[in-house]
Amino acid sequence: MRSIAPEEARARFLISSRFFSRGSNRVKADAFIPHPFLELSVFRTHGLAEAEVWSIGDSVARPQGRTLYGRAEVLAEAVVKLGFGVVPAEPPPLHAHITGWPADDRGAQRIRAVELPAAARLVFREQAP
Amino acid sequence: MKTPIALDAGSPSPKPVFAGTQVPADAFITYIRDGKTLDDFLRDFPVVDRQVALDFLDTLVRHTTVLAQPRAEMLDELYDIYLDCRERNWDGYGAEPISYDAYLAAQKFIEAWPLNLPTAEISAAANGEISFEWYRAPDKIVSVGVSGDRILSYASIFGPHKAHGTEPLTDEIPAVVTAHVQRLTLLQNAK
Repeated sequence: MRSIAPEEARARFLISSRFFSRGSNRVKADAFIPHPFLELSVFRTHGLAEAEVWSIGDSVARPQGRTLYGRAEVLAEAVVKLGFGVVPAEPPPLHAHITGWPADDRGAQRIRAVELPAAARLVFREQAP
Repeated sequence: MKTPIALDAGSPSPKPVFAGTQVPADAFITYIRDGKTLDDFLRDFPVVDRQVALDFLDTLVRHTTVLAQPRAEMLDELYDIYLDCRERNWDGYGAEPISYDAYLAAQKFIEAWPLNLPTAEISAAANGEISFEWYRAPDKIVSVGVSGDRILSYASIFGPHKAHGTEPLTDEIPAVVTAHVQRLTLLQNAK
């Protein structure tokens, strides 16, 4: 299994409109709360063209009949700096997990989720409603 | 309607009085608080015109409506979120549904929220909590989650200082939460 370079970007695809604010153009902390798991599902996007990135997002959203609104993009380096781990988790191809979430402590999990948006860039899929 | 209240310019520290008199407006409030009536007040302060006193009451009602508007908007937003997120997997990643109990708990939170503090953006979290977020900057943020078991989880970042924990949801907002939002407001005002 390949290792992950620090400068690589990771995308959390946004399939709920509750997870971002168009007004302040930012991802909300709730987008990163990993429940029901203890790792957050993301995809490697480093080196991919935009169309390829959205194609991966579609593969997450379309089978569920959902709208892909955009993605929260974080650099592996920034995530690791916050004390999380980033590990490959294929299949599916390019899938990875952000690990290091506290279990059974909602306050502790919330503060970790609140830290992540500072390291995230919100990218809208413009054709989303 | 003429303005029912004026400032008593003759006083060194001007106070609101009924227009055209020197009767303090808060004297009327004191009467009501003590269980007396409008007629009692007008009998004891005959210089106050009945219509002026009624206009004063109308003004209070209008101001209260304006103050309560943000709360009404939060309650509307909460209901939309409940409708949106009450089925499992509403986020496409296996999220817990927002339960009716969580909705009621969040409603209680909104109703208890002091009107003199800023209102929050509301969203939902995958663990079934309804989230309230006060955001000023990426490193200045207060986030509160309300769950159906009536436990609040909170997480706050003020630059290098961070805090988190849980509190029971009662009839009053936990002091730690209001203190954090006040701190955020002060940081913003200090900019």
